[in-house]
Amino acid sequence: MERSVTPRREEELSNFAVSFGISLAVTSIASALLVVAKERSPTTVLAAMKSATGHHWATHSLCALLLFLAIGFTLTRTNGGRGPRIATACLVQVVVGGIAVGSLVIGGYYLLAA
Amino acid sequence: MSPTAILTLHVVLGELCVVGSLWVFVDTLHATEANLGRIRAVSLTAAIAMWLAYLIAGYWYIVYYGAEKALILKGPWPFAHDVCMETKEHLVIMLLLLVTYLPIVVRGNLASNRAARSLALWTSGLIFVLALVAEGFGSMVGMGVKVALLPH
Repeated sequence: MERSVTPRREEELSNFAVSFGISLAVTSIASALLVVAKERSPTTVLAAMKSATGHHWATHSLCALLLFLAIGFTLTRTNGGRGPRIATACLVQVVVGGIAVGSLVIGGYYLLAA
Repeated sequence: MSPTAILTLHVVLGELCVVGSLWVFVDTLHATEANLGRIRAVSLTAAIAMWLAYLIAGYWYIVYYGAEKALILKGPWPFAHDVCMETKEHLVIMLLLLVTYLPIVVRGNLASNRAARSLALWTSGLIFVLALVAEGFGSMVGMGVKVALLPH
């Protein structure tokens, strides 16, 4: 007897969950690259970051937070205000990948530089 | 506020974030309509704890850490600053973004929405791992100061 198989419909994620998930991944990688940039360029990038707020780490934190919010809110307005369309599995890969790459770049850089 | 109080608060709030993320992870595995409110409340608590830990630690790092850094670099464990502190102070920026993202994820109905549940599990799991790494590196920094002060 042939059984009818109804494909399970996966519920969609909210616009904010998708947009800020992508933003999280992008910002994490950008933040890691900023670490390398400021460590490799102490007289230009690091000096500019120090002069901006008085401490490079405070500037770094502020930049990452603003970038996270800017990308997240911008993405929520795309696609006619519905945000990016992306499968959940793909979004999970993007988020985990972004955090993994960011962590490896930061940890790897300081480990190799020590 | 004294440096001791600042550091104690930093550690306690960091632990609260670790426990909170683990709580969200386990509760999400068993998500029903009954525990959705609790998951959202704990997510928010973990996020607030991490934000406070970050701000308090940031103040301490900028104002007080310089003297400890000099001690560590002169001691037998310079890697406690060169690797552990440098990595930690930048990893926690990602941790801060993750805890800010968690309450957004758990706003979905985790009981009926498989996609939101999967994302909540990954997000809380990543927070747990990163927060544990941060705690571990923090301990290494503390040990770096301790061994620098020992007679050698």
